[in-house]
Amino acid sequence: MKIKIFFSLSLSLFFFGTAFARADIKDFTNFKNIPVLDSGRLKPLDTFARSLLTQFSGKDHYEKQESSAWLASLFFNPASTLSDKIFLINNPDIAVALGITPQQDRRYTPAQIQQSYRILAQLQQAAVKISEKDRSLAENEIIRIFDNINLYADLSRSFAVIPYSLPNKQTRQLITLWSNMAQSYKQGNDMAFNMAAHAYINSIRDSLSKEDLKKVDKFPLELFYQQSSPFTWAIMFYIFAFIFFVISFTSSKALWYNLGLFSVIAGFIPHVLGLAMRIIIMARPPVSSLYETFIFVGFIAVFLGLAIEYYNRQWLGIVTAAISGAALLFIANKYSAEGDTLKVLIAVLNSNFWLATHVTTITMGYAATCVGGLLGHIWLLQAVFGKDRQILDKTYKTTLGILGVALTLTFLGTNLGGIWADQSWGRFWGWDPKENGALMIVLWTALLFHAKVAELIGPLGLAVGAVIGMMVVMWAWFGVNLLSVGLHSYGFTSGVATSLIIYAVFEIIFLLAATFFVARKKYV
Amino acid sequence: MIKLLSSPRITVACLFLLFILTFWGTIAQVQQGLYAAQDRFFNSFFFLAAGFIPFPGAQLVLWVFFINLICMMVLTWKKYIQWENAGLLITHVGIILYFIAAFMIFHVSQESNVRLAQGEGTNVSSSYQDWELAYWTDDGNDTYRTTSKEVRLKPFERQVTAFDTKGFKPGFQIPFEDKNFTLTVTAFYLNSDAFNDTAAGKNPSTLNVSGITLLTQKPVDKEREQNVEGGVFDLKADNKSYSLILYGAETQATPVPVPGKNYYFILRHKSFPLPFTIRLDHFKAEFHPGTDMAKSYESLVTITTGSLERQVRIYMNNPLRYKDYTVYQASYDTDSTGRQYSILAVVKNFARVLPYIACFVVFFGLALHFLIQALMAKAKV
Repeated sequence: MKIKIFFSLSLSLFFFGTAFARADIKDFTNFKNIPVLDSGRLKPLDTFARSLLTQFSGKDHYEKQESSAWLASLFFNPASTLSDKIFLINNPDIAVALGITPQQDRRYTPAQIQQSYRILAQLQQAAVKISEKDRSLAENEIIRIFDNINLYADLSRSFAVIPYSLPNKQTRQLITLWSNMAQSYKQGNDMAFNMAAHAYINSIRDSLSKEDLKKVDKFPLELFYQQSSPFTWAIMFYIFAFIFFVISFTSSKALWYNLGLFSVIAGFIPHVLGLAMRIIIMARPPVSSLYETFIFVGFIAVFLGLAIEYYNRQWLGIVTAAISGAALLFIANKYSAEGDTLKVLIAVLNSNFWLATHVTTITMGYAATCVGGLLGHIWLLQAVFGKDRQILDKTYKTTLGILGVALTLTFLGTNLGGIWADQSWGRFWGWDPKENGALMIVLWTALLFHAKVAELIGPLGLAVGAVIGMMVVMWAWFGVNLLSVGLHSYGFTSGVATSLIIYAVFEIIFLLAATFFVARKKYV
Repeated sequence: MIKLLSSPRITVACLFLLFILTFWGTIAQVQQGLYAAQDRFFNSFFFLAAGFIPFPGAQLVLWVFFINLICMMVLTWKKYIQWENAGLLITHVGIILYFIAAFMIFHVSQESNVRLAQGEGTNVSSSYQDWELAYWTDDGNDTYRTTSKEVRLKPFERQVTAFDTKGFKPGFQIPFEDKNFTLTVTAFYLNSDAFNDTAAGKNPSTLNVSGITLLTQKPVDKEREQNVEGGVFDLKADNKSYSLILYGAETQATPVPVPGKNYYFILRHKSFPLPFTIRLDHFKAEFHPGTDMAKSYESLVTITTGSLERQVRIYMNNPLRYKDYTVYQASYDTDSTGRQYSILAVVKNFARVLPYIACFVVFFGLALHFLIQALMAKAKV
């Protein structure tokens, strides 16, 4: 198998013949809309191109080229892509092992990797023998590079995306149209290229079921979603809001407050639209992968922030909204590096009603607990910097209210999870790590309220407790996934463990320091 | 006394202990596996931390918590009559419902499964991880499970006696009603491997229907359902002594020659007779196009109760309910010959609606309480 792939790779590279100048097709609209089946989902070729390039290089575009334009050059003029620096090798040692001089930007050309394909194949053979759990980062990367170069070679054989399950006659028609596309691409003929692509789409549409056609009809929306990158806009505005807040320390003009409020709302709009587009495209609730939970939790947190601001017009809500919105979308952005974020669901998740109720409520609970935690931070900071009693009291009351919302939502979410489990597996509760994580949030928040009633804690205790509550959420949200046991161990990423530990250590230091200063000021 | 027991400090302590136990019990699953961690931290009254420090288990904490809650409600019931505390009252009544639900489910629910290929039927479900030594005096074949298309859907008629294998250890004599022979445990393994050592030749005093001559102990898997129990028994009958080997993965029972009768022994997952017979007519697994990721799977089954027969479709989130029994599509399985099996979970539980009710009562109470609080706070401002 190994040798066969190697031969076919070198053969195909040989077969490309002489490279010619890259043609200047400018309009890829129809090309982008070609339906392809990838990872179990019918999607526009553009989405495939983006996730492919992201998978290869960590970026969804190549230099100034759009991903689709690059993919077209791979399809129709593969030789021209041989010198494109598209393969990301993070570990310089692997580059050295392949006989490539490591470079600053960590990206290498297909030609470079092709030269040392034999060594790469040997390394990959050794790496796959190790069981998945015991593989090191470097071994995983070798496997990834090996898969990527093979995928590159497969795709360069031009007819790669033509479906093979169709009747002969239609396949022949598709091949003809595809060849037309290739020809007009080489001639740089924009109009002929688009006409061929259009005819190709129509030909494929003829073979699709009604249900699939509905999905294809949503392609323009999906392209718009990909191109407009709504969440980047949202992050930008949330950051602006925070900057205006910082500026407001130096000037008491109402202008900064208004700008801050405006920025949060301006960020919230693309945030909501992005979420809405995802719901329409996938026709399911927007919370089924770790990536999606970040976006959704961010949405709820900003919503709660705006609600707080509605009652307390003193920055409190703007600040929590800006921080939680920007931070969560930023983390989501990191997760989108996995490729196409619009994913199909595994069987047990594939039931809209329970998914909608359980997962949305529990993530809303996460959001509320996080906002409570942020308010706890704010109370502590306000107390350390000696704000007056009235302001502190307002923050304290808001924290209590938000924690009440958090308790109600996490309680409902956890139990709806139990009901879902009872419907699907026949048991309400099974001490699964994710269930336990959610239960811990409920127990912790209930503990805070009871400790307050028992007069064991005052405002300081509640603020500290709220911050710890946020840490419990982090544990329930990704910590348990790191254990890689149980039913919910989706979305495992190795970098998470370190970030989580750094976060926890930072938080504990903050709590100790703040408690020390506040206790001295006798605010307790 | 009641006053002491109703202290909110006890509530806080209980919540804190439960919080710690939940966290600890989660972490411990990595090392010990789900069931062992569950037994140690949640089902226990006490356990030893670090080998010697006694620590309360969740069951004890929950009992204390329950008593605390009841005492508190008895003592301060007047407080709850006010409108502004209506939410709190409802919440805590809901929590009491939870305790009752948890108690009932913990003590009466029974989880088991059936694994059927297309055309197979059964009226017995088996446990995931508990084992039993069963014997009967009959024609020896497992008549209630056959692979032929013509399934005998007669109710379970054979009288089978079974012993729980918990407590089997070398020297343990199994108490039979029939005094014509004795059966003593020589060796018993919670997880084992079986070998057919042909080089040793056939030893006429070793009894095993599948030709197993040797059992070896394997380390116990933390996923308990992965374990295969095995045992060697010393059988004395008619002044003769046999070594009876039983291995959990065997599908046939080993016949034992006792004068006058034919005994059959098998070591199997604990079995529960069902009040109905279930036959798999058709199994269908659907995948996301172009992947091996399951989109859905479903079983079309025929349920026979007495003379009534009906066909039911069981699929994800759509189980079959019959009296206290619920049958779910749990998973599927393909054996080495490519035959597909549908695995259906069978749960007997008559309190299953209770947590549903409790959940919504508590949610309603919480929502009401915080809403009242918010309105009152606004009225004050």
